[in-house]
Amino acid sequence: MDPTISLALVMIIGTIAGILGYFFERQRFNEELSRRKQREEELARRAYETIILKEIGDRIGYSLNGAKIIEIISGSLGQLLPYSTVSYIIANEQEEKIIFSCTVAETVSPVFVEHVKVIMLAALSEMTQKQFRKSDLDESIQGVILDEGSAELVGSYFNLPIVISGKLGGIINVASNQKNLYSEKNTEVLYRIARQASEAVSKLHEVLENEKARLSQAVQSLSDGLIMVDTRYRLVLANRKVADLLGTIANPSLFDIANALSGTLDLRSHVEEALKSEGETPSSEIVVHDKVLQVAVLRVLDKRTNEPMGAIVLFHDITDAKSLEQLRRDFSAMMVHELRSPLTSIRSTVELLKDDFAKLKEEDLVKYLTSVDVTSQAMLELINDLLDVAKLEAGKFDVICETGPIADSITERTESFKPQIEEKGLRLTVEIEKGLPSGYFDKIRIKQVLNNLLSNAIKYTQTGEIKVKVAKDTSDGQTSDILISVSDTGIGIEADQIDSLFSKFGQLKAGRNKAGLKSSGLGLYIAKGIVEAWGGKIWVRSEGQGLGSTFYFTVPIAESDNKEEASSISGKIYPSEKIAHA
Amino acid sequence: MAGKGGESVLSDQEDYQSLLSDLVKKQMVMLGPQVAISKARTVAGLTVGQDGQVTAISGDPHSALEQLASEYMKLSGQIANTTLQSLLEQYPAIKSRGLQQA
Repeated sequence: MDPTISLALVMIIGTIAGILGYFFERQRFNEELSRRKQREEELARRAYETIILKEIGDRIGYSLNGAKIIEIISGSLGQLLPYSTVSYIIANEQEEKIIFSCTVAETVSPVFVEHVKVIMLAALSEMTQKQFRKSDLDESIQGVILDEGSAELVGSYFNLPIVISGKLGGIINVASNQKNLYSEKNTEVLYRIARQASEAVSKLHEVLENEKARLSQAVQSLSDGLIMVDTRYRLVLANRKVADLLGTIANPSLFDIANALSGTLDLRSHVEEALKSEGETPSSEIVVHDKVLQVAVLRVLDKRTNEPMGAIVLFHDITDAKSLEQLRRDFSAMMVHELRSPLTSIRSTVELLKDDFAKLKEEDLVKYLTSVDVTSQAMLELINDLLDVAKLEAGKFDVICETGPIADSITERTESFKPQIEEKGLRLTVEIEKGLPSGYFDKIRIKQVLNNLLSNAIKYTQTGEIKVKVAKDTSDGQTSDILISVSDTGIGIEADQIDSLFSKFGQLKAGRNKAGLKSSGLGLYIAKGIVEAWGGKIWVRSEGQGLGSTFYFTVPIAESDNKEEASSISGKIYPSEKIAHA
Repeated sequence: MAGKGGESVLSDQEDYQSLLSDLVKKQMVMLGPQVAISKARTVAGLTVGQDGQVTAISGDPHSALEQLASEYMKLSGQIANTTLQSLLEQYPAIKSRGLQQA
């Protein structure tokens, strides 16, 4: 080959290779540039995401305002995307209106804004499955002035739903007059931000809902009725007890409550007074459906602003307290009467003796002096009962427990009552089981218990029999206690009176004194205190009025006997002597 | 294969195509057409037209539905799920197969 041609070929090939090399290098450089640009864009998106999430966190704090998320995201879009308008819709169920806000960044036509509204309402209707119209919107438009002369429609757009706890909180719309501007790629970061912010607020929302549920449970389980109204006199909550106390339907409306209180309490005036008043307003007492209710109205202040948020109305049932107060008054009156009557009798007898002492025969003198003795004895018993009750209530009623045979105490007491029983024409039966274990009790106080039960049996029985029975009380085949019962064939006790019989005012409540039989009515209350002090129980059974009654009480078995009984009372250990306080 | 089995497969495919199209179209209203369509096009095996119509499905249509539902749930969470559930009411045969994401 011609050397010139060869040289030319080499030069051409070299030139081509050089050109190709240049293009290859340029291509590589462009690719590197593109990758770097992508990395920078990705970095910018990440930075934007971090900034927005931080801003949302800072501005929302611990509040649950989904609207703030929407405002923050829509207010910071300029850093990320080109757009003509950014708008948002917030559905406010409570106010029954939809807030529409549109910020115009580039001049667009009013038709464009109307188009945005149509797009957003269609999205809202689709997401909520409800139909909305433009007239439902409470709108505000801000930013650049609109171009009235243009009729340009939206070229491209995307919607960003904000979902809080599974419910739609609002929609952000980003729209541009340019076509094909938004893709899955360049909007991805916004959806991610919206999702993360929604999740954060949803979690806060969940915490608040749990707290609300706990609070609601506590309010519902209150023994007092409670309602809360806001400053516009709208019912915020009412617990179950309100319906019970006021006799309204379950879940009453404010109208139902006000209606139930009609004529007794002007609820609205009380609430308004409480909202205005800086201090506490006085409580009132009202009677509704035979219940005495104390009503307190308290205003609730907003912790941050110190402004009233509403008022709480508390209905406290004081029917029992009022009844007890009445019982106390009746009891005091009865005690005064019980003391004054014998005193009057003693005084008259003594005056008679003083005036006519010389004229009276010896047998009359004995009769009058016996009367004074019996009457003063009755007074002393009454005063002793009152003193015992005072000691019981003060926790200073000593019961000295010791080990001993119970049969002796029972026999001694029944023998002492025998003359009275026979004098009234009644029959006395005493059954004491043989081989009873020793008991653990107060030998003096047991007489007080038996005295009360036997004297009551005599007092309330006109014909028939009084039966005293002492036996081992077995449970699961083993002896646990000694059971003493005193039965009579007397007037009996109504079922509804049995529960209150051992209370302080039991006799008064049960009306047993109305039988015209004098008594302080405190005996059973004292007997209960004594029996319980040694670890026993006392109760009564009666088939009803006129069918007699049986009073029972137990005495625990003493420790030494208990051991022989192969641990019949597990866990019970009794010292040889112990002072218990009833 | 022709016959009943073949017809059943065809009908099944049509159901999926119709359901997927309905889902994309609803999401177009909710999210905007470009975002909804570009998301649908990221699902392997789906051919989606500019109007949101799914014109072809290659591969397992049920898997494609699950993937598409998952993609939309990333954008609108519970709202997308609710929409899908309401659409599934019209396709009881597909609903009975259950969806992992839903």
